Amino acid sequence: MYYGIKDYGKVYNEIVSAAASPSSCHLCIFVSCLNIDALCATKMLSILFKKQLVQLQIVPIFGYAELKWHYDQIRENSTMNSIILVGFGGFIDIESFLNIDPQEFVIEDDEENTKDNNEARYSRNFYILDAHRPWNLDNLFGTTMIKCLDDGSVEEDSLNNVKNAYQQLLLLEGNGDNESDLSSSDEESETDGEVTDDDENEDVYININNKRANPDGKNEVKELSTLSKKQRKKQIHQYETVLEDYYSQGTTLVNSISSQVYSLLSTVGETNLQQLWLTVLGATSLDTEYTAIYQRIFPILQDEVKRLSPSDSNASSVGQTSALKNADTLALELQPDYYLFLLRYSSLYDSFYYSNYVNAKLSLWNENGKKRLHKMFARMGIPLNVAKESWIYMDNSIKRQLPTILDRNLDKYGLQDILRDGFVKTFGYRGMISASEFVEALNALLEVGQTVPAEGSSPNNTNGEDNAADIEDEENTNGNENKLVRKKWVSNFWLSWDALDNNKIDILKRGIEHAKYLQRCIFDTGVTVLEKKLIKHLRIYRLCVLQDGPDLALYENPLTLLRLGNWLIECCSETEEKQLLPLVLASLNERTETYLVAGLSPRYPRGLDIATVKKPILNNFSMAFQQIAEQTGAQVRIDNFESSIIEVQREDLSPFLEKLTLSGLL
Amino acid sequence: MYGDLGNKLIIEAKRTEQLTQRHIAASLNNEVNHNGSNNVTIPMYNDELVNNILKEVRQLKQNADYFKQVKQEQEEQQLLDGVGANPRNDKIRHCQNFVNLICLERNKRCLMAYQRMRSDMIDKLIWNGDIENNSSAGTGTGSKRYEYNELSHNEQEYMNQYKNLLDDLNSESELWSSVEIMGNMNPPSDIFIDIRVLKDIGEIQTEYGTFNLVKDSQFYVRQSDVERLIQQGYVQKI
Repeated sequence: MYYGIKDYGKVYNEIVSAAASPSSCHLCIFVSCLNIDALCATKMLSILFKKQLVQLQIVPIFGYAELKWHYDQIRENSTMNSIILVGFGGFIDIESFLNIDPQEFVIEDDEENTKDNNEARYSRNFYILDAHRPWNLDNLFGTTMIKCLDDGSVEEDSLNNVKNAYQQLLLLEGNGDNESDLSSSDEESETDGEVTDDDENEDVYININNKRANPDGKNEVKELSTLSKKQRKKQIHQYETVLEDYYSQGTTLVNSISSQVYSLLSTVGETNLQQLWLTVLGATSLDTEYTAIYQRIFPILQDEVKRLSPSDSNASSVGQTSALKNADTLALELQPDYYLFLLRYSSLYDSFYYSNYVNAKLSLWNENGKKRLHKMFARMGIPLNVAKESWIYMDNSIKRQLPTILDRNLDKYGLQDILRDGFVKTFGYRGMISASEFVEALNALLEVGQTVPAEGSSPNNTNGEDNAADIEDEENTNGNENKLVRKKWVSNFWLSWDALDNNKIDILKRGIEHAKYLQRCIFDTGVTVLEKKLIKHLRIYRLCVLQDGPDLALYENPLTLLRLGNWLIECCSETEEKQLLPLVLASLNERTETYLVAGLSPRYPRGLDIATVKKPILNNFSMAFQQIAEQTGAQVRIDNFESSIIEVQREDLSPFLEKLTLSGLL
Repeated sequence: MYGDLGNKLIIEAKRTEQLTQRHIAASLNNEVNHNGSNNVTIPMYNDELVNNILKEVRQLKQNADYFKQVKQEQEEQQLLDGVGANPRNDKIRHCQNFVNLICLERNKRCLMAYQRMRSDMIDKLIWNGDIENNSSAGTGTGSKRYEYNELSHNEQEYMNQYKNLLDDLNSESELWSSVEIMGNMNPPSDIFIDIRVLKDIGEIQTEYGTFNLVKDSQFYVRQSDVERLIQQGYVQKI
C-alpha cells in the first residue's frame, strides 16, 4: 500500500508508537550506501527519531545480495517491527524477494481495533522511501505489509489505470487458478530478471514481475466466473499489456528523498536549520543528473531558508550579515553561487577548467577550447596569473565584481547559467561552503574514503591499509576481494555520515581534496576518450569501453563511473548533432575479469532544458539490460540498486552489447 | 657518577606521570571519550636501565664489603700492633662508607619510586576496566591471564593477582554483591548513545531484548546495554 504526502504524519506516528517501548531496538533503517540523497535522508530520519528516543539500527547496504543477507540477520528478531528502506526497494517485490510471509506477522485484531479499520495489522512493517520509478505494483497495491511513501505520483499520474488493471488481473487469475492453469505459461515468459550472484554462490532472483496470489474479493468472483474462458483470456492479456507497458517505460528518479523526509518533518513540525541543510544537500546531489528535480524543489527550499533563518538581520543588507559572523555562526544563506567546480577551494581558473559545464560548452578538452577559455579570461579583464591564484588569496576587488563581470561577458560563450542562486553555509570562522561544493566532497568521500589511492599503485593498495593483510590472504578468490571493496564502500558511507556533522570539518576538507583529485582523473580519462575517439556511435546508443589507463581501478566504484559518464554525456550533448542518444559506459575490472557497465540516459544541454523539455527522459537501460541478460544467457550480475548499472563477465560483454544494439529496446 | 642512572629513571617516571595527567585532562576537555575509558598507556618497562642500576647496586655492595673488610683488617692490625686507631684514617673510612651507603639507599628509593608509579598505573588500568581492551589473547579462553608486552614478568604477575583479587571481591563478597564496584564513576550524560559496530559480533542479549551487531552498522541504543562492548572495543561510541 502507499501513503501520500499528507499521510506522512500518520506513518511517523505509527513507527514511533511501534517503537515506543524504550527497552529494545524496534526500528531498522536500511540505506543505499552509494547515494547522497539517501544518506542525507537517513541522517534526517535518525535525528528525528533520536529526539523521540527511539532506538534504531542503521545499516548501509550496497546491493540486493547484501540486503538479503542483512535481512536474514534480523529475520528472527521478533522485536524488530519497523524496517525502513531508504533509497531503494521501490523496484522489487520486497515480500517475495525476502521470502516474507505476511501471514506470519499478522496480529490478531482486538475487538476495539476492528472498529477503526478492517485492515490487517502486522508485527513487522516495511516502509519504502524511494524516489525511483516505476514502482513495483506488488508493493503498492498487492500487500498492506509493505508501505510505500509516495510523493503523490501514484495519485496524480495515470496510475489509476494501472492500478485497475493490476487488481482486475488479481481477481481474474485468482479465479482462474481454480479451474485451469491457462495463464501460468504467460507468467513465466514475462520480464523475470534472473540474476546470478557469485558473491554468495546462490541465485538471487529479482522478480520485477508481479506475483499473482491472495485474491481478496471473494464476492466478486462469482460474477466473474460467468464470463467465458475466452473472454477472460482476452482480458488478462489486455491487463497484462497495461502492466507491462508500465514496467517497461523506463526508470527515472522523480523526487529527492530528503525533500520527502522534509515534508514528513514539516507535517510533524520538526523542521529546523540543520534538517533543512541536509535537505538542501540531498536535493543538490541530484542537480547534475536530474536537473529538473532540483529546479522544481529549489524555490521551496528557498522559501524555507528564508523562513527559518534568524530574522534579526532583516534591517541589514546581505553584505552586512556576513560581516557579522562570529565563531559559532552556523547560518544558512542564499547567495549567488557559481556553477563551477569547487570555486571556494581552488582557483578561479581551475574551477572553470574542471567544471563539467564549462568543459562541455567550450570543449576544453582540445587546444581550441583552452584558447577560448584564455580568451574569455582576457575579455573579462582577469589576468591569468591572478585567476590561477587560490580563491582565498585572490584579489578582493575582482572577487567582489565577479558577478557583474561574469554577467556581462559570459553570454557570448553560452555560459550565462554559471551564475545562479545557491545555498551557502557558514561554519563560524572555519569557512563557508556552498551546497554544491559540499555535495562534491561527500561524493568523493563515498568514492575513495580516507585516502586517495597513490598513482600507479597496484589495485590491492586501493583497498585501504586496514584491509591489506586480509587481502593478501584472500587474493585468489575474487568473490572475497569484491566483498572487501564493498566493505570499504560501506565504511566510506560512515565517513560521509560523519562529515555531515558541524564539527567534523576536517573530514569535509579531506573530501574536497579527494574531489579535486577525482575530477582531475575524470578529466584526464575523458580527454583520452575523446582524443582517441573511444566513443563509438551505434545505431541507437553511444558506446564507450575502457580497457586500460592509469585510473582504471577508480572506475570500479559505480559512483566514479557515473561521474565519468556524466562528464562524457554532458560533452556529447553539447558538441554533436544527434544529441539525444543514450550512452553505455563499460569499464574493465582486471582482477575480477568483469566489466562494470552503466547505461546513462541522454540529457538535454543545460540551459535548454527549462524552456523546451516537456517530459523527463527515462532511462530504459534497466529493462533492456535485464531482458538481454536473459536472452543471451550472459553471466550478468544485477545487484546495484541503480538498476542501470550491471556487471558483465569479460567474455560475455561483446555478445551482450551486440544483442543490445539489435534489440531495439532502447 | 653513582646515582646518575637512578636520576634518569626518576626523570622518566616523572615524564610518564605528566603525560598521563595531560592525557586525562585532554580527554576530559574533549568530552568525546570522557566516560572513563581514557586509555592510560603504560610505557615500556625500562629493563636496561633497571638492570644497569642493579649492576651499580651490586658494585656498591662490593664496595661496602670491601670497606668492611678493610676495616676489619685494620682493626685486627691495630690489635696486633697494640696501637690506637688513627682518628684521621678512621674519619676517611667512615666518610667513604657513608657516601657509599647513601648511594645504595638512593638507588633503592629510585627503583621503588619507579615501581610504585607503574603499579599505580596498573591499578588504575584494572579499576577502569581497560584490561580486556588491550589484552592480546586471554579474554575468551577462560584462563585469566592478560598479556602485556609493556610489563615486566613480575608486574604481570602482580597485575593478574590484583585482578583476581578484585574479581573475588566483586563476585564473592556479599557486602558488594549489589554494587558494581568496577563500574564507571562518572555519571552518564546520555541514556541513549550512538554506537558504530567495529567487529562482527552477532546477536547479543540485553536486559530486554536482543541486538544483532553486524559490522558497519550504527545503533542508537541505551548506553547501559552496550557499556561493556565499548570497553571491549567491539563497538565505538560516536
